[in-house]
Amino acid sequence: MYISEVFNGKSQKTNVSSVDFTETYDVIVCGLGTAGSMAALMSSENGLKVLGIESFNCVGGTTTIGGIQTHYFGCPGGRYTEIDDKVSEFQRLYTRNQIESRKFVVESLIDETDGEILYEFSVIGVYIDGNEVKGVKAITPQGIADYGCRVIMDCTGDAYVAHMAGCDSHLGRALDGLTQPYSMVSSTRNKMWVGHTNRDFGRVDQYDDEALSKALIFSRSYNMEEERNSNQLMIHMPLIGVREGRHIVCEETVTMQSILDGKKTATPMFYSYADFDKHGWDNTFDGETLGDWCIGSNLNAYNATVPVPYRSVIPKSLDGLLIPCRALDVDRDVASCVRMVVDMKKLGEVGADIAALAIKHNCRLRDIPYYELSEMLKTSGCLDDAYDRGFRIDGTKNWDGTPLVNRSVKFTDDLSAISDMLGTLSPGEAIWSSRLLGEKAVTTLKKLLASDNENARKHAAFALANVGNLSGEDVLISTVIERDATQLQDCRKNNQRRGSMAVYWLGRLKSAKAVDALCEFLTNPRENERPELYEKDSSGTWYVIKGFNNRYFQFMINTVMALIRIGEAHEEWRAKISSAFKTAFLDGSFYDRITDRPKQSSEGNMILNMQNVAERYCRRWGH
Amino acid sequence: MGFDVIVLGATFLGAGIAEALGDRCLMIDRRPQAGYEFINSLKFGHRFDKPLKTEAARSLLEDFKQNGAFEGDRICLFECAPHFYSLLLDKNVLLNTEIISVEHNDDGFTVTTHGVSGYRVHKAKTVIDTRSLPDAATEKYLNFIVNTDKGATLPDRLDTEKFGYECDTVVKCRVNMSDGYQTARKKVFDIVTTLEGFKVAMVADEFEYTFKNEIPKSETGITLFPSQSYANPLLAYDAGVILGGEL
Repeated sequence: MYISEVFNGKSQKTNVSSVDFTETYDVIVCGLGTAGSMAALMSSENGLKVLGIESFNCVGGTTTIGGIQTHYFGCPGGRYTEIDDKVSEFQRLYTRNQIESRKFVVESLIDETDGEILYEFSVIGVYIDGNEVKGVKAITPQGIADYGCRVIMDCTGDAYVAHMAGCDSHLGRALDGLTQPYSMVSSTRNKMWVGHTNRDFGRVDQYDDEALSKALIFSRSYNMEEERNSNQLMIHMPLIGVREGRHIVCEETVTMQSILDGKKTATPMFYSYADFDKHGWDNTFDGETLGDWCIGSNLNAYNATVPVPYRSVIPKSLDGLLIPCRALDVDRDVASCVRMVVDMKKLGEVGADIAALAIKHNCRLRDIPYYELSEMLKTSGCLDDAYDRGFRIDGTKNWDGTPLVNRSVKFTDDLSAISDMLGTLSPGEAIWSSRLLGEKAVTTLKKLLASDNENARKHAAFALANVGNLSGEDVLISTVIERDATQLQDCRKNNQRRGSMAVYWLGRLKSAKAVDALCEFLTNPRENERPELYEKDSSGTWYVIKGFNNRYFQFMINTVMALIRIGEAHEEWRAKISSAFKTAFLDGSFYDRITDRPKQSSEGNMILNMQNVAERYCRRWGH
Repeated sequence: MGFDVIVLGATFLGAGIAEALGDRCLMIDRRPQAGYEFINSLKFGHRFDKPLKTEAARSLLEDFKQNGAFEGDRICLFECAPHFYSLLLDKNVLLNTEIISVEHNDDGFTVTTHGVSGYRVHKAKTVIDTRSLPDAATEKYLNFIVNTDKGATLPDRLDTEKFGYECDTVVKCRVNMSDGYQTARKKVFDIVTTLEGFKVAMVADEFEYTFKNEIPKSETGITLFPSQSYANPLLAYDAGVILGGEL
């Protein structure tokens, strides 16, 4: 047996002869947040002997001390619904919001089912024998204690326990290693009503003590004046909203590409459902798959169904450990769709059921009979094939405030229909349909390049780029040169501007021909003074952030990314591109042209990161 | 890296010490918050008329006044919290960090912590513990805020305090020293379910303690100064600035 601990960020193993566990459980749930509180309660309901360990002093995590009381999309159904009903009923009778009622109701239910909760305990080591976890070492208010178990559920969200145990993981985006911005929620008051408001701050490395502490302090130093209107500030919530962390390498993984390709797992535990809910405005740095969908095809607010395999919570390298939380094995693109409150509650249920089955059959977690798990999940409603609905548009209001027509989305192979759609200001589905058709669409799209219809001509160039075809390159360049500010209309929010999309596709095509136009755009210090482009709020579909010229920023950051892609492909252009980067970012004036917000703000953070990334490529290219 | 002083507890008193010592001081706390011993425990304090001895504390008082802490005859610190956090922006602070052990040796102190990056070791000449250590306490409360939109009145048997928001009342729920948060919350809702016309707006995130007149000395050589033993956060901060200046 050995103990696996983390020293200065690195997992380290030390042999131990034997451990005298204070108590031994069937299941230890580490972290009693949104997923963990459900995992502990439902394990206890499943008849298992359960210990829940929580470093704070209540259950619920994001849904209590994180201040998030509602949920964004997701599919209903599962054992959590009955618990939520009890929370709502208790709130109706006794509390002004769900936070206090959830804390009390859920911990009372765990208590009633003989589950044990230890607050203000933190796991600091994992005992492992061979390939199997055996228990945890914890720091408690009374000192150090060891607890044994058959199954550990790492519900910490950030996979602290799995990392401690030495599991492999992946984190952040390829370009710069960053994750999504964090937010902080504050409770506010308006007479009797206790509400909550939130704000996105900059990125944080939540695995760095100093960085996390600075983020905690910086976000709380804001008084949320913009967000709370005239409401009174009550309190900043104890938990900041970290949206993205490590993902543990498990038996099965889900990628955004597999979802876009229509590939499905044979062993789903539930269906996630949302748009690829990116936070931050630098999505062009998020990679090609997400970029092609969200920026290049303007489909960012389209919802996707993600069948989530149960084996995505079972780590490859160790037995007896489950990851039924945000850190399950999905790639970061699809993670933004599989991290909703409802998903986390369902993960708690799945974790409880997998543990119960492994103990019942006395088998490894990866060997449980899936048919039994699926029966349990179908009985509760957690797994409901009626929600395997592919892509959809859902919501209440469209980009212009009119009622949104909710509908299923089917990409088409009808070239005539594609041509028609490309001639409108909602060409997104046609651009993506063309990608799915590939070469079959090229002839039709090329014909459209000569069309009198400006929409058809430009959108056909986007569609051609989406199948990797350069025929529309000149149209794309002219769209950039004329700074086409037309805002498309596919989505209920955050529709792209056509000029910015053209910049994106020129980068994806690695168009050397576009370098002059892109460099001219980037280095012009008066570029932001074009009122028709950057000052006018054309449709209100983008969130307006006071003091942040997001329209200009979108053009600029797409240009930086495009030039990086071109420079990576064409060595001979690196000197010119590097020179443009240096000119553009030589002094701080570029920052002031985009925002007057603080450098530690989410927006400031993204602007400075754009500069850092550009400078990094200059160095990499030897300039 | 060595510090002159390591402060245990990101408290008002700890912040005062850090204000006086700057980079020579490191503050460590297991909680993700600071100033919780007053703000998050809903102990807004009294004796605000007592003169403050340091310029730093008087400046914080002015900030508090400008943010509505003393409107009318009631006190509310909620709007003041961001100003308190601002004081910590340029300080050495580790939140979310467990204190595993503190060892006194010939060179001073070795403090082992466990945070998001695992175990770390810090050294200092002096360690000051500003946390609300139950050993030094005499009473323990889990406070909560109730309000009514029905014109109801609270029973006299309850220990209550009015504060900044007109319709709100802080109810002090005394619990046993051995009670944890789960048991304490149960006691809170045992009270709440008997109240007619009131609902809970918030339950404190932290216990409020009252302390013995004389704080016991630590056997390990750590100086004990529970921040919450002061009548209000400004007095605690003031005391911290003075203490830091003497080190």
